[in-house]
Amino acid sequence: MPRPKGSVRLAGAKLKLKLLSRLISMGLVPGREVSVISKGSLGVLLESDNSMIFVGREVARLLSREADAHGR
Amino acid sequence: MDAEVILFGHPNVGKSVLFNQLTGLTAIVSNYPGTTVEIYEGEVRVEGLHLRVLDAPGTYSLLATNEAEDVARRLLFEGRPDVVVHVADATSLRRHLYLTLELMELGLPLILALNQVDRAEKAGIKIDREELERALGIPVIPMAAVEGRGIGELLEAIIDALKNRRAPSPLKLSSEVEERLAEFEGFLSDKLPPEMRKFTRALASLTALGDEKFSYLAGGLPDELRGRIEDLGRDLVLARAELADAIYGKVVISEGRAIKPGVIDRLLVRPVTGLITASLTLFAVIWSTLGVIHEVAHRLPRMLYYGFYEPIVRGSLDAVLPNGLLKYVLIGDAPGIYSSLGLLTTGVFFVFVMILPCLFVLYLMLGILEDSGLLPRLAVPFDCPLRRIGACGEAMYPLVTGTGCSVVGVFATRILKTEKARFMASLIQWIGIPCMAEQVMIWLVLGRYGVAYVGSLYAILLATTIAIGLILNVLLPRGEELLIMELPPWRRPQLRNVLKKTIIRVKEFLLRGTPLVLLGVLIVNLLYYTGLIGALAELMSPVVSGLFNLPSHVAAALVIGVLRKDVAVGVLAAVAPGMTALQMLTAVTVVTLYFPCIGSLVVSLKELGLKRTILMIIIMTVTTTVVGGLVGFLSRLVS
Repeated sequence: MPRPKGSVRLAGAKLKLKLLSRLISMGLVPGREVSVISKGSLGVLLESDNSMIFVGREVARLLSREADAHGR
Repeated sequence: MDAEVILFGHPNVGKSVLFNQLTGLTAIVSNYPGTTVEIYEGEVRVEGLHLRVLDAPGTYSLLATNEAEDVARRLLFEGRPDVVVHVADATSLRRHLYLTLELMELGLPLILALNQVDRAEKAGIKIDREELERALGIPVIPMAAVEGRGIGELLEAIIDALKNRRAPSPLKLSSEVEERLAEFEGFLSDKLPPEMRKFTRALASLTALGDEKFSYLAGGLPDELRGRIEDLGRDLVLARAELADAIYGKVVISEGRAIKPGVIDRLLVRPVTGLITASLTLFAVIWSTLGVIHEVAHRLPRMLYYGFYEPIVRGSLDAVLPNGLLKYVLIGDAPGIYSSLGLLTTGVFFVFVMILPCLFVLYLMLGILEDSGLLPRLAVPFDCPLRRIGACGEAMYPLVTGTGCSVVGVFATRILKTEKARFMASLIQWIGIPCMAEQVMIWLVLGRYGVAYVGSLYAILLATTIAIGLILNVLLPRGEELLIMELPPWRRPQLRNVLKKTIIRVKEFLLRGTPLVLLGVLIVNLLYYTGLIGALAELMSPVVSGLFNLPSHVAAALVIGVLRKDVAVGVLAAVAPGMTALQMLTAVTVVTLYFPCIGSLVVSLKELGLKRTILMIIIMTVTTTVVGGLVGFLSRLVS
């Protein structure tokens, strides 16, 4: 069974409102720490609140770009 | 009916299992008016009350991002149920609380059904139920629907809620957000019709979040207030999440890990391993489905039909009825499925021997795929390439199923969430994926000229599909663009649940689809009886000969192709024996592209509606003219 590959703190306060709302309603709240199950060029599989959520490349890129801007 | 209860919640929280436990075998499935979204409804009698129970499509929030989620909330705003049961997963309560907080803004009696406590207990997760009830101000029922645990207590809570009719008050967010929201509500309440004023708070929230359906409500706002709406929306979702976090912090006694990601989960996120893994898994499932359909589901009904049904029905009616219209309509004037065209022969064969067994097996497999958690996983690697042609990753299942039979494939598109994806997946099947029977005929007829011609046909169909997909993807309204998908935990499908879903869906086809199939057979029957079919073939021959460079007799195959494409391909060699290889390639291309068979046409009418079906036929006609014309032109040049 694959083990989580570490955790990341979710950024996203500057995301578009609808996307932000979507992520939060699925449990991906900015500032919360989530586990990364697997990463690939198609996207990232996250573990949050006992749920597995796949975010596509575009969403992952938006999140990581913002994370970089925050120096995380 | 005394009252209406709606089961609401995220996808994959066990709503369907709970629904089945509550309603037993009374359930029926119907499409929400004006949509293709399935709604399950059933009845339950308890303490002298007759309750109508609705199973809403799964949704993460009241801010809908697809048609299914829109229907779910319309069931609340338009249906105004007497009680809302929010079904949440006890193993991941924190993220479900966001929706609970939204539902509390509706002003409808609300119960929180904390499902899957069995899994939570195994993982060491403990929730303080009393504290949760105090924090939310609504009844909380711990349950394990799959074991029937908590059902009695839930029914008691529903009866209690019906007696009291007490709706919860929305929980207070930060004072700053509350003040701004109240200001917004003040402006909105005057604009709403009286029956919607109950929902002022919820509608104010949705408008602040930029919900397109309610954007008109922001129209008359003062500029200053309108300018602040987006900020309000942003602060609102963050404040709600913060409140959900705070409540969770108060009620959780112990936490634990309840999910076990598998190797497949890890492989799917990489393009190469993802596509290989998903392709292999998908084809294994599809081919076993088709194998079961072919070996079991078709053989027995065929045996019964040819061994008992047809000889008895044809024999007795042939002896009793005089020659004339009635006899022709009922059993035709010749034996054999494709020559008979009678309602009691060809019609019954189509419905009960060809379509129904396929649908039963397909729905059974669909149910297993849905319940096991495999289906959403397959969508991940295929999502990117399919989005480029207007579909989405989830379309893989109907597309591959369509290689067996497009009737079944078009039916299977109902798992897709957006109209655009359903439309594109159906169109791709009609244009680019010949059914299994037709493919056999293609190899027999076109294969005689060489494998290269069969390969050329598939290349033409693939190129045509991609070209049309790319064009329509730009022209059609855009659907949901970004991929955020929950992968449910791996689960062993519950046989009872899968069987019940299958029976409900098959029952629905029998009630609604069968008359359409029989109507299609009747129309073709009358075309033959009146001789109009010959005139139709005559009418088409200028296009067939002039544009496609084919012998005029090929028109007869095109007419037959409306009924069965495999038969149409099969008769090409017989009606026009002297065709060159390129002419045969043109003819098979045209037969494949020009029109759907009657079975998938009626299913499409039922599933996608008249307008979209007509649009697909127009696209097919234009495509056939262009592609058939080009290949025909090539054959003319070569000859």
